[in-house]
Amino acid sequence: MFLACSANSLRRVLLFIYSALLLLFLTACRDHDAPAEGKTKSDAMIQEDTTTVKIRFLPKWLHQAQFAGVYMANAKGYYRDRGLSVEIQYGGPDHSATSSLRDGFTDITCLSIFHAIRYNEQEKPLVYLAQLFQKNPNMLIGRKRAGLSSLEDIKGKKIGIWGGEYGEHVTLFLKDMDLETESVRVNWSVNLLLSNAIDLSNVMTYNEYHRVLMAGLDPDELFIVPFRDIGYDMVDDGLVTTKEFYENNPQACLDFTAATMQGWLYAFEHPEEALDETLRIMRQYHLPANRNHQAWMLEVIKDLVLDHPEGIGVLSRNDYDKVCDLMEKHKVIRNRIDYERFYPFAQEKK
Amino acid sequence: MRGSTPLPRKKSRSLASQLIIVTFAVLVLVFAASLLVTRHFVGKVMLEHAQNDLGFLAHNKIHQIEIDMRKLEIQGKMLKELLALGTLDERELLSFIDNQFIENNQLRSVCIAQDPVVGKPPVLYQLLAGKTISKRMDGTDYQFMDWYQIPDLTNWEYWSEPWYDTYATGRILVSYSLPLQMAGNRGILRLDMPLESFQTVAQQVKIYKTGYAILLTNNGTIVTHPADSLLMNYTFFDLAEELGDPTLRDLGRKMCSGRTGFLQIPEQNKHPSSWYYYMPLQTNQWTLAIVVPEKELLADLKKLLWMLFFSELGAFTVICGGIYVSSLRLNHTLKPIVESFTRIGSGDFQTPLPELPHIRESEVLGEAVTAMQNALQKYVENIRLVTDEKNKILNEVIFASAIQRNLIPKNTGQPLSPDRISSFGILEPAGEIGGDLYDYFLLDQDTYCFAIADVAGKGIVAAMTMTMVTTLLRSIAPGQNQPELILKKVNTFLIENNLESNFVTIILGIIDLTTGRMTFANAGHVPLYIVNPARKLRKYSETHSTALGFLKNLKIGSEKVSLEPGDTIVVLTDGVTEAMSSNNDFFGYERLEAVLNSLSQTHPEITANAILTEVHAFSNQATHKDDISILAIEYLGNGTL
Repeated sequence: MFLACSANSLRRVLLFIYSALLLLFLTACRDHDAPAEGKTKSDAMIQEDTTTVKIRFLPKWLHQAQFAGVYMANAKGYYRDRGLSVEIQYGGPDHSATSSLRDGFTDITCLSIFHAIRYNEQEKPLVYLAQLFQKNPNMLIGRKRAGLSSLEDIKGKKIGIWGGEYGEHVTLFLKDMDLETESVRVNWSVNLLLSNAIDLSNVMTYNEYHRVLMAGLDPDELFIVPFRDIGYDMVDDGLVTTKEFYENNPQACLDFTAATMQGWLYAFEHPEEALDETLRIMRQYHLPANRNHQAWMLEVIKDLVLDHPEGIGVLSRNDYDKVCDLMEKHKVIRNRIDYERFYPFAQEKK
Repeated sequence: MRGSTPLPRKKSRSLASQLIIVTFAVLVLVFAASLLVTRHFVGKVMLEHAQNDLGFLAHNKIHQIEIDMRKLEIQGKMLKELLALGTLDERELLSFIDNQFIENNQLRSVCIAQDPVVGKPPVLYQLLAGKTISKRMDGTDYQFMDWYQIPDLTNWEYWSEPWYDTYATGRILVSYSLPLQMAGNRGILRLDMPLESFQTVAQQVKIYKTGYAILLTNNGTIVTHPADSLLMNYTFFDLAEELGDPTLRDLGRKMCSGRTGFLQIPEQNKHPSSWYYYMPLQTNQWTLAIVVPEKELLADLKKLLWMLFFSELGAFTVICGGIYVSSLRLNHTLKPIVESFTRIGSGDFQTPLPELPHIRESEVLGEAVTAMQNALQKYVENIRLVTDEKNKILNEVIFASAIQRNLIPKNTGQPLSPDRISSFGILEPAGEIGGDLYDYFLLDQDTYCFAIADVAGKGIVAAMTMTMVTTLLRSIAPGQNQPELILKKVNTFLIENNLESNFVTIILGIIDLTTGRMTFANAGHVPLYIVNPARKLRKYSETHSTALGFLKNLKIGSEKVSLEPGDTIVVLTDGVTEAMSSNNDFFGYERLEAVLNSLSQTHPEITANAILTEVHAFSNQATHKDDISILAIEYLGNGTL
């Protein structure tokens, strides 16, 4: 369903357009940063010309193709070319992205926009550098034989929802749809669904859904609720840093974002090479390196990333407002942050 | 036939090559059929045996794996009961668990976890350096781990998928969890086995050359496989998807559904065609599958087929060689026979036959050929004798013909009473000799006798009959003036002497030259014509009897006619009227009468020749098979003028 020919063709065209736009964007960034009205380069820029800025990036999860753009940007020297020295840290359930930002363990990470907005209010103010997933990858899946054939059937069922920040999107969806269910917090395991301990489970199209298929269940046996196809297509993961780090290193943040997007485009154009690099890193950390699964993940993420008419990595005001509206509706936040403050590169986009 | 040109022969193969071709075709069909049948049936039997062998092996291995699992299940249930009773203090519990480690060396750790609401962290028991120790698992989200959450939610005993124990053992474990009631609180009891205990047994499977076992969990995760990179990483369905093989996925679904089966997966993506025997573990429904490449499974069949092929090829070669040698020998034997036959065929019937092989068919053939040779020689001798006889007879016939011609009056001879009568006759036999006759002679000075006759049949008999009749007429006619009496005597003679029963049609006439009165008798002959000088034609069709030679007491009549000077009597045989054209039309009486009417002169020679000329012109000479006789007689008067 994610690999339809027409969608592939469209993505190829978008990939080409995005590559061209990104080059223009990068050139614009350079021009914007160039001395204007007779001023000389700032001290910071002089420093960046002569020294390397170190950035620590923490993936929100264990190493996998979900972060292939960062791996390729690093491997192909896109960061180095911009005077950045990027350390890709080890993420996962034991390394909370928000905690790492709060504690200064990392500089830039990857978060769902829901979490970024919410965390911004509670803790240090955050800055959104780029919107990676332009479509929502969340789904609820269950076995049809559990009596599931419509959204109404979800009522009263046991639904496994990820704990903490990871399950917020689903929780809001269930509230928004006014579906009374028995929520069960789960730790990213699909085994509860497979062993019939729960009726439905929270999955990502690029990850857990494939693992369920790769446990032998066929799509036609499954009742699937893809959020994005039922009018709940909120954007998802993006690049996030603290307001403090951004204000201290605006050019580095911009360069990191641009290089990362360039890395993604390279990964989409060279999927085998991207998979090789992803698997190399996974093996380095002794993680199960399943090429088949990583190939699925990269292909699905390509669809998620290359789906914005204005360009790769863009957070549109409309998408931002849609997320804030939902969060305000359910009182997750009280006052939304100004769009330009939350996403400073909105100006760059213009 | 001696000296004749032989007919062009079709290009033909030798006996040896024909025999070998036919034998080759038949043997190839028979051998191919035997190979196919052998492959089908023996292959089926081999697969059945392999299924039994692999099933036995799988059953044994599963039994080995499940010994420790079942022991673990019993230990778990015992401990669960004890914990439910709540009678053991901490020291006694430690002692009991210590005993369990001793009883089951595959038991790695035991974990007792109470509901988080109780607020007590799980307690983990491990055997370290020969001593059982316990420790509390602080700071873990144990309640969200499969081993806790699934049995807690389902209230079922649960065998976990393999999981990496980062907290305690640092190893991949497979856990058996039981829901627990302890001091009124819910909880989970977990007993752990290392995954190696499963892998070791499955990895020991070595069957055929490269046959191996794979162990799959409930989710299809590959636990043992020859490719290490797949272990605890790929599921069987990942493998199927990566290979793009939907049949492999179907197999995976069957295997993970707890079924037992024996299935072939065809060759695809460089993976050879393989047979899978799969069987579930009874304890946790994992699947043990034994995989054997088909070429190994059926290697003995392949050997058998090759042996069969070569033995059949050998038999084939021997048979063809034997046939070739036999046919060469036969050819060698046949060659002089063929040469002899060729000479016999070219007319040399006395060619001796070569020595024939001592087999029944050749002996029969030799006897037949010898008989044929003798018959041919006899036949040729007969032909020679017959030819000699024929030539002799022919000479005699030629001689008889000459005599016959001499018996017929010569038109060139001295005419009889030339001032009173003029005669001209033509006899044109169809062969060397004929059966027609005409004759005329004087009975006395004033009496003229003429006759024309047609002896039925042809050849020598007819000629001899004609000769006899001519001679008879000449001998009996003198002194007679009544033609019917003469004919009666001829009839009597023919009846008494004609052995061939030939009959004779005849007109015999006697003319009194002084008066011109003619008496004639017609015995079955064609009509008599009289043409007067004014070209008036009289036709006398009435016969006065049947032909002579039929009836002994034949009544014969006669007719009298007065001739006027210048009248021409025309008599002829049916060779004239029955002459046939190329359109199969007869000359007939009308044409004859037209000729007679058209004559400008009455001279007998002219009349006779005119008729003959017209007949020749009319008839097809090639088909003219009858004698032609024409006699024209002109009565000139009594000589007084």
